[in-house]
Formats: sequence, structure tokens, C-alpha cells
Amino acid sequence: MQTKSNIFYQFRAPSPRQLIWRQFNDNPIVVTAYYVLAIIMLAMLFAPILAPYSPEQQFNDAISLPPAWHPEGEMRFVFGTDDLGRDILSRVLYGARYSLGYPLLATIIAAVIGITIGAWAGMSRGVQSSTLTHFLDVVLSIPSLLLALVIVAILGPTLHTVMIAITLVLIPQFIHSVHNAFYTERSKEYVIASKLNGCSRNYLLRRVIFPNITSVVVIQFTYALSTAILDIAALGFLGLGVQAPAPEWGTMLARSMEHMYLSPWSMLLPGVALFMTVLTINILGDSLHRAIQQQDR
Amino acid sequence: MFRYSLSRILLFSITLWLLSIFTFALNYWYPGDPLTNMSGVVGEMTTAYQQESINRAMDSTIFRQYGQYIAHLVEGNWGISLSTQEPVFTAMRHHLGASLELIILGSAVAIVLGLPLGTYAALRQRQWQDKLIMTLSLSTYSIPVFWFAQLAILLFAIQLGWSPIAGQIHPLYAIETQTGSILLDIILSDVEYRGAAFINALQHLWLPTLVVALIPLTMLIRMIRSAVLDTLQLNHIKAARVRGLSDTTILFKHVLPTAIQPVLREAGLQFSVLVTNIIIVEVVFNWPGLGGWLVKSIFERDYPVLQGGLLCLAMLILVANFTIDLLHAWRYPQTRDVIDAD
Repeated sequence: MQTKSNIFYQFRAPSPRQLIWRQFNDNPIVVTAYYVLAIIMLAMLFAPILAPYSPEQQFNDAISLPPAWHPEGEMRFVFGTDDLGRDILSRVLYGARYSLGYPLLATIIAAVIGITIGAWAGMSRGVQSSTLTHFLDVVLSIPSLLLALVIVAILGPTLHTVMIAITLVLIPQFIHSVHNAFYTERSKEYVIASKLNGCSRNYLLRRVIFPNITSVVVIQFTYALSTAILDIAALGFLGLGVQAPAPEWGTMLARSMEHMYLSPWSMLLPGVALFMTVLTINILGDSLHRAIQQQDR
Repeated sequence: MFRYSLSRILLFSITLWLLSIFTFALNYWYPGDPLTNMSGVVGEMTTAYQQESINRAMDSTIFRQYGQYIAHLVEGNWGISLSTQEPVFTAMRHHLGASLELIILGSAVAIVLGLPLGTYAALRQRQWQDKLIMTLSLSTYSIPVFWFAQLAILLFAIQLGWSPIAGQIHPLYAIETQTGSILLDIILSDVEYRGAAFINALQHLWLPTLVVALIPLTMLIRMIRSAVLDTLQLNHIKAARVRGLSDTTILFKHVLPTAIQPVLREAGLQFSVLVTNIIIVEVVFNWPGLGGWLVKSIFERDYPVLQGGLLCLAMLILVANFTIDLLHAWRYPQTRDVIDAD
């Protein structure tokens, strides 16, 4: 690439980040996904400003009102109201906190703990390492939802316990992938070279190996985020997650299921929101994976 | 193979042992009395409770208690349900049958559709057919399964009326439960309206099966596509082309047998995804399987049932992974050495 920032023409190799960005921009679907996710994030942050009503406000004159484009619908409730007369659009906007914000938080906490333990385990050898690998294989073979269900059964269904359950369930996944990545990087020549140079273990971990496994971490993060979103929504759907008045998307879907004959529209918006969020995260993760892979070649 | 099987069996038994310790510990972590949580016997002062307390060595050390716990599990004495007072083990057998029916039919549909679609997408790489299949599979992969189940019920059961909303069979057909799997039960029963009952059961069955099959199907398509693409680059395919073999011979005799190998291994890991979906689908369709049973037991704080359901589902996954591991090593000997080397 030639740049004219200087009077001399010079060849400047794009940085890895720029390469990934370019790869991203090539694909219109990925760009769309990027913007859609950004809009969902903004809607989550500015829900109090954007939402027309409070999520818990009930309108007694507008119970189970269809969406505005329906002949019986009203313009003030664009996506209709549910069986208690609450505006569905406001509920979905506020619900983004529970269905996207909290999973994001849980994933970040799990990532910090999991990467630390995984890095430590990746540097250790012998019995310690192989015991951990086998143990993690066992934990990972049990589905995350089942484990979360058991944790909720012990602690009882509230928002805190769901958060604890999801975080605990995600940690082993991070440990596993980071551990494996460290394990393969550890025996490569550049690591041995810096070891011979007398780098401390800490420096080796942070500055030598970690930059080379970012791809693994990023992919694992997007995967864990979509798992967390789906699991929290699934727990809410089963009635074992976030409890009733909170406008969580899974809980809303569970409620709409009871009124499927009378008001099928009440399951439209929460479902679409959930689907779009998970889809955009998956598309971004998938293309990030491909971009990084292409760079490695 | 012998060494490999031995190491796998050892690992499998260690896993089961860890699982049993986990479920044993759970009884102490749940709220309430550990003995009641374990056995389902209520009432501190009753004779039955004291008898059970002696049986399970509750006043002895924790190790003796664990030993008695294992002995009871092995005997098939999994306690009685706190809500229905039925023995958990017999109830579990019926629920297991119903779940296995969905799991087997769902994975069969996924394999029958996924194998050709994935291969087709790989052969048409970067053409519109490939792009269509891959886009569809990525978007269906992101659908929350409970929402998809709701949409399917809304469309097929309510709008079109092609299938009933929920349940296993119309209660008018009094079919005695023997295995829990409804199709098997109808075949085993000796009622004269067997044909009609069978058709009715199929009407109930097809929708949950499709919903269950959807996510494994999309996973399978993606896996097979990438495996076939990788295989097509290999030298022995080039050699086969040079020898002038026809495209179909190359595909069926050379590409697919090699491509299946990595897919088989990953499919084993995907089994737990299938089980997650089964739990949710059973709740939505009110299917009398393990998942619905487990979720109901959490609501009712029915800890013996919860323990039974958890043990059964976890064991199902472990056995499936174990079987696939052995199958994989038996069919593809080169994987044995890799594991032996660690």
C-alpha cells in the first residue's frame, strides 16, 4: 500500500488490525451485522430515553392490543401490548439489559478468571496438566444449560444466582481453550528463544505468548457470549431465571406461549430481538475467525 | 486397540466416579435434610425415616455414607419422588424411553439430511447453492430453540392444523406405557386400533423431531462441508483423478470415507448440544421425557427426581461420547497412537 503522508513514496505493510478490518469491510453481510449489533448495544444503553413507556406500566384500556399495522392496532403501541397491557416495544428495549448486558458482564468476568487459570495451567506440566485436561473434558461434556439448572436448583431462581451460574458454567470453556492454545504455543521456537534469552515466566506469559493466542481468546469470547445469551434466555423461558416483572426476553417468550392463540404477536418482537443479537454475534465471530485464519497463512 | 480401550475405560470409570461424588455432594448443598434429598423419605420421627437412616449409615462417617449411596444407586434404589411417591428408577426408565425416541429420531433426520446437503455445498463451493446453504445454516444455528419451537407450533399446529400442539398421543388411545417410547409401546401393545394409534402418534411426533433435528443438522452441514473441502485438497484424491476415476467413484469411495473421520469426532461433542435442545423442546411440547421431568422437579423441589434426571442425562452424554471414541479408534487406527503418545 502506498501512502503519501511523506514526500517519499514508501511501502507500508498494514498492521494486523488493519488487515482484519479490511477483511471485515469486504463482506457486506459482516458490515451489516456490525452495525446491527452496534444499534442493539446503543438501544440497550439508551433504553430509558428511547422507550416510550416504563416497562412495567400497565394500560388498562389496551390489553392484548395487536401491533399498529393490524386494523385493531393503535399507533401509540407500535408493536402491541401484552396480556397485562404493557407496551411490548418498551419491554424489549429495557429487556436488552437482562438479555445482552448481563450475559456480557458474565462473559467478561468468566473470561478474566478463565484466561488466568488457563494460562497458569498451560505453563504447568505433567500430572497437574493432564489431570486438569481430563477433568475439564468431563465438565465440558455436560451441557452448560444442565449445569446452570443444577446451580439454580441449589441457590434458587433469582437474577444473582443466574449470573453466578452462567459465569461458573463459562469458566471451564475459557480454561480449556486457553490451556490448549498455550500448550501448542509453548513448544514453538520463538518461545524457546525468549526463554533462552532469560525472560521471566511472567514476561513470557504476557508479552511473548499471549499476543499470539488473541485469536483463540476472541473466538472463544464470541462463542461464550452467544452461549451466555441463549442460556440466560433459556433459563428465563423455563421460569428458572430472571423472575416475572423483569422484562427479560426469554421470560417474555414464556409468557407469550400461554397466549399463543389469542395474541401471537407478543412473541414476535422478543424472539426477533434475541435472534438478531445472537445471529450478529455469531456472524461477527465467524468472520473474525476467518480473517485471523487467513492472516496466519 | 486393547491399550486404547483400556485407557478409555479407565477414563470413563473415573468420570463416572467424579459424577457420583458430585451428585452425592449435591444432596448436602440443596436446602433441607440430606437424607430426605437423597431418598425421598420425609418426617424425622417416622419409622421409615429411621430405617432409611440406618440403611444409609447417616450417623456414620461421610465415607460410609458415600459407600451406602453408591450401593443404593447400583441396586437401582434411587429413592422415591417427593411429589408422586413413585420410585424414581422406574419412572426414569419411562422418561428415558421417551427422550431416547426423540434423540434417535432427531439425530437420524439430521444425518439423513445433513450428509448430502453438506457434501453438496462443498462440491458447489462459492457458488450460489453453497452460499444459500451456508447462510441458512448460520441463521438457523442462531435461532433460540424455544422460539423456533413456538414459531413451529404457531405455523404448523395452529395456523395449518397439521399436527396437535403438544403431547405424545391422544389420550383416547389408551396405550399402556412399557418402554416410554410411544412407537415401541404401540407395537408392543395388543389393542385392535393399533394402526390408528400409530398414525396419531406419528402426527404428534414429527414436529418435535424436526425442531430437535434442526440445530444438529446445521452443525453437521458446516462440519461436513469443511471436512469435504479439506479432503478434496489431499494427494490421494489427486491421484484418483489422475487414474481417471469418475467423479461419483471418487466422491463415494475416496472423499466421503476420509471426510467422515473428523466429523465423527466433532459430532460426539455436539451430542451435548442435542441434549440441551431436548430439555427445552420437551418442556415446550409437553413431551414426557427426561428434560421436562428434570425441569418440573426443580420447580417442585423434588430432589430425588432431580438427582435421577441429572444422573441419567449426564450418563447418557458420557456413554455416547465413550462409544463414539471407541468407534472412532476402531475405524481409524491412526488416532489410537496419538492418544497413546500423551
